[in-house]
Amino acid sequence: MTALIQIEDLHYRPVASDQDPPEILRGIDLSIEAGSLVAIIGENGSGKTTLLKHINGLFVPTKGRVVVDGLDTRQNENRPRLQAIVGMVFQNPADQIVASTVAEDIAFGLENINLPSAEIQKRVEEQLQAVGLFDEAERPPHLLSGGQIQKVALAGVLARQPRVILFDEPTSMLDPLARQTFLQTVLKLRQDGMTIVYITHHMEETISADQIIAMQFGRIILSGTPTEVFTQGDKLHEAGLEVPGITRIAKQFHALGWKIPVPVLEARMLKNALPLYHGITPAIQPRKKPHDIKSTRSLIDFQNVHYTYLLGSPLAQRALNGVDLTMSQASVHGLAGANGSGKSTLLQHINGILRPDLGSARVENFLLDDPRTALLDVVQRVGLVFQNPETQFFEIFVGDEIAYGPKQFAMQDIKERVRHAMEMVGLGFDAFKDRRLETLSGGEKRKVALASTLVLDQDILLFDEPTAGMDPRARTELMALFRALQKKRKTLIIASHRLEEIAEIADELSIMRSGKVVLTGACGQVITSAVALSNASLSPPLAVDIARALIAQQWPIDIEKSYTPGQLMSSIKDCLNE
Amino acid sequence: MNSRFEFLGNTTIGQYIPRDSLIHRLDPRARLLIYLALFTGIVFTPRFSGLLLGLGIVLFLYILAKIPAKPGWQSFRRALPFLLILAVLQIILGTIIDTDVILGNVLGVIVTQRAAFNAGMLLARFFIIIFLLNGYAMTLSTSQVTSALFYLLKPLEKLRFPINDLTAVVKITMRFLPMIAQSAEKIAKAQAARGGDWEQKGFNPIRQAKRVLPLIAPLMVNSLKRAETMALAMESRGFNAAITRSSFYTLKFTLLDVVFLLMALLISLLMLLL
Repeated sequence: MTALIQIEDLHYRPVASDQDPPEILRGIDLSIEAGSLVAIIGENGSGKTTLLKHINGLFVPTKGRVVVDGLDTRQNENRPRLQAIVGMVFQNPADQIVASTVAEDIAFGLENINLPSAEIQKRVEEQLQAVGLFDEAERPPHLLSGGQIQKVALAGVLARQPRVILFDEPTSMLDPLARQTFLQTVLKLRQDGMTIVYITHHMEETISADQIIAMQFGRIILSGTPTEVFTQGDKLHEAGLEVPGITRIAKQFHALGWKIPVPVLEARMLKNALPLYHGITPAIQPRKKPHDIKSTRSLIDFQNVHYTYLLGSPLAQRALNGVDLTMSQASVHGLAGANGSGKSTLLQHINGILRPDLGSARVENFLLDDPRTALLDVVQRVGLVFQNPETQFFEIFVGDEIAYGPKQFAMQDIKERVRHAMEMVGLGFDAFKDRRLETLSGGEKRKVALASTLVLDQDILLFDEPTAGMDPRARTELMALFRALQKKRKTLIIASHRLEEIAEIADELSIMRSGKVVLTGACGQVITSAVALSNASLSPPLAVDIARALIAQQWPIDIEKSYTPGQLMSSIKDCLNE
Repeated sequence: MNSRFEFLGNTTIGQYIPRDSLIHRLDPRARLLIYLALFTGIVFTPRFSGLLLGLGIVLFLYILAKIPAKPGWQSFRRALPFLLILAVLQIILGTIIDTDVILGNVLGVIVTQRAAFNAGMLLARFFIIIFLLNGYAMTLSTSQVTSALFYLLKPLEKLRFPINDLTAVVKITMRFLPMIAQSAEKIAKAQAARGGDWEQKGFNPIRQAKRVLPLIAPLMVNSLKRAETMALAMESRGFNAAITRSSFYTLKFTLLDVVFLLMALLISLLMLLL
């Protein structure tokens, strides 16, 4: 039987006017069977998206060929049929939405095949029901959340009843709940016989795949079932990739001499294999009194802060609904919450860009509810790196973009400051300062954005979803940067819906839910309070999950000191040494 | 306190308010044509009585459509500085003929009764137009506009008129405008967070222009990049301007539509001839 998608010796070199640009794809051979689920992993810039765009004929091979269901993508007359068979959800789904309402956008692809209006309306309604957007049918897309936008994009593709769906990093902007829903949708589509190819930076999301393809420099370096691929940890590491978090933990348990199957890909598998504790249960040490954050003068003090976007217009949207929050100096503070819970809005209040509609807000000595407090004074003390900051560039050259802030404040030694900031994020000053921003890779752009805030050397630094869309290597580098800033006694506030990452660095943690801060405290306490997390649609970090399973096996582990993989291991070793 | 960064709130597009009203129930084509007729009447009516009639009919429309007057009032206030400049120019640049009654001399500019009347007409005309346009935005959703255009232009398809291109252009423009407003908002915030001067302190057009001009180039670049992706996305969803497309919406012209449309045409004609 021939495969549904057959790729042979695919090379691709983008067409450029001046000289020969390097090849993006360098000889890909791949066949994908009908009805299978294929995950593509690889660093940013390894050619994943380019490969995907060859499958639906948006790109045509420079050399080699791509055949889908017997249709060669190089032949123009095959295009319409190819587009009918293969649907694609783009990396940033918002760019894929054509129309001004949800329903109309889902209809767009059906209008293109000239279906009668009645049939279009029927299919649109089915899709709206299926993805759960019936109530948003008339909403304009720019006012939807990231998760909703993605559902619209998927509904628009599914309405055309394709046989293959391509997803480009579908989960990078989604919060845990939306991600889970999405993964369930994918599995259900596979059950219905759909062939699915998707790109992801999160290894945990590949374990249900029939086949994983790891790419580097435009080539496939590894391919096989999840078990086959994730036993090759070293090779993955070389390619800037990693094994899933659970696999890493399991490997360490295995090294303790426990009977753990190799490799473990799912938490359930590991939990079932955990040994019972046979040591002596040590006398329970009296728990240290949790340190009281309010005892010293707080750095940030928000009381009953309210904020509504587009206040007074028909599109008004309440974002903060009575936030109370205090934070202490020189700490790393995590801000966790689902998409739309108000994290970004809160951060923008802390640096004074948005001002409360109601309530009082103080940061250091700045009273932000007082309109006379000048924004310029506040931003000199508080820096904010926005979500996807690379979409906010306004200069042409790297150096100018980073120097913008120091110039505004007429600082001394701007050149030295820029050099220092660039070195901090790992960009060479001489190599990069005169590069044009648009020629940078996604990862480099993110570094420029970080440098352009760090250059101001503010004492309080806010980060909004800093790891979104990053590959594993870039995430590791960012964590190292955070630690360096922590050493410099900066106060960091990091908003994210990935608790694993916050857990690695935060001292304190706040949970947000529907425009309110529902819980604040020491990271270990908050991150282990199962009810608060699940009410806020967050999932606990893996380490907490495993620690709970160990406790169920009689292990005397203090869960509040075991919420990262590293801590968990040392807790276990402590028990073993008893 | 309204944020100075809410560019989105300043765009009239996307202000559609779904209501169950007589106006909202009209066929989009009828609504589009009614607004077009009234717009023509108000723009070209030479007399004050014509404007009064225009004001009356716009007011009537607001009541029938059950929409608020506040957004119109806000838009007018925003446009007022520019309108006042126009009105003053009208007085300064107006020619004086012998029959003119001179009202007085303000800072060396002779103000005639006719020029003052013309300036007043200009302000009144814009006042009504702004309310009409806001009414249009609140009662016609962008998708209704595109589907109305699609069906109104459909007969021209046989003459090889590129209706697919045209409706796609309108549709995407409607989609892009709020996106551009959002991008502008983001860039402005990024600048403000790094010491850019975005604080509103009184009315200073030069400072305002100095702030906005640097945004234009990055906004263009961003929009072009987006457009490129969107073109790919449209292609992958089977869009091809050369083939026959259908429409999601089915529209039905009823007697009520005919009555309203005729009324609007009649009133517009009255405004022009009165």
